[in-house]
Amino acid sequence: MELAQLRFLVVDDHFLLRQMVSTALKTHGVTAIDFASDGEDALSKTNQAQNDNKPYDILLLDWSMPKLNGYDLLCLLRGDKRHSKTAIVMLTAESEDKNIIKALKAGATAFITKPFQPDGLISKLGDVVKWRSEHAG
Amino acid sequence: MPDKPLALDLQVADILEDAIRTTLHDTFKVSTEIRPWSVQKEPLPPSNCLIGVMEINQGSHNHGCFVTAFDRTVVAKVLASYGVTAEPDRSMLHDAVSEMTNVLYGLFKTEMNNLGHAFEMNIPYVIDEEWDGDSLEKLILPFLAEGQRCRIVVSSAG
Repeated sequence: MELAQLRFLVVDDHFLLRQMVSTALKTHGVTAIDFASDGEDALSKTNQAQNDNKPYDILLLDWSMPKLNGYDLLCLLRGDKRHSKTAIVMLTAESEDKNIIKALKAGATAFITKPFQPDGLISKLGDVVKWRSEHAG
Repeated sequence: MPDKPLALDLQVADILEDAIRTTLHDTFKVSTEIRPWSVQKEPLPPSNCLIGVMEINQGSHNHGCFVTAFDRTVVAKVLASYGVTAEPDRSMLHDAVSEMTNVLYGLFKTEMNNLGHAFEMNIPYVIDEEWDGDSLEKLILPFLAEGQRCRIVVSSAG
């Protein structure tokens, strides 16, 4: 499946970051983009999308957020088999190796550090699309 | 890990310079010109900037503050480059300063932790008025962004 056909949820407490990601995705033809501004909001939207039989293909997830942080949300989603086919990409200013390893061990599909360049984001998402094609059955 | 004092020295200034170039110039496409850094204890002069503040914490120990000051026109330019073409309101300006502070601090934290610190990520807050800071020693790195005066300040509790 092409990147442009996928459904995205962009989770970040900052409007500016959501705009940056949205701009990069739209440039590559993506139209199905939803947004959440904290982990609780994201959990609710992810579950609702699943219940509506329109699950997100890729979550782009910040780490430091109010209410429920991105790492805790990642653990919650990976503990729920309904979301096993959803790729979860951490997109965060937490860029130390120990945190990258921690997130990957918890089930993150990929890890992108801020600041990012649009081309770098899209390239990484290309790898994630391959992961999805292998895991989406 | 035992706490290591936060020294305000050339190494920190170099880390901040790199963070400014990577974040503002390379990512947000803002022209930047770094000015000479200094260390002082005196309160900062007024700047007419929006101020982003991140506490530098390691566990329950506060090591100081990481503070950014951005001219409003620079913040508005960054927002405009991502489609916010109307006059940005206060909450939008605060949001952008918060994210820019978040990214700059993330780069600073990573490099400092590679030097033996164990600083943690926090959620920044933004204020409109001048940050009068504290009586702590401060490393001040002024820079021009789009020709406007901005700066990063790191205060250290030792």
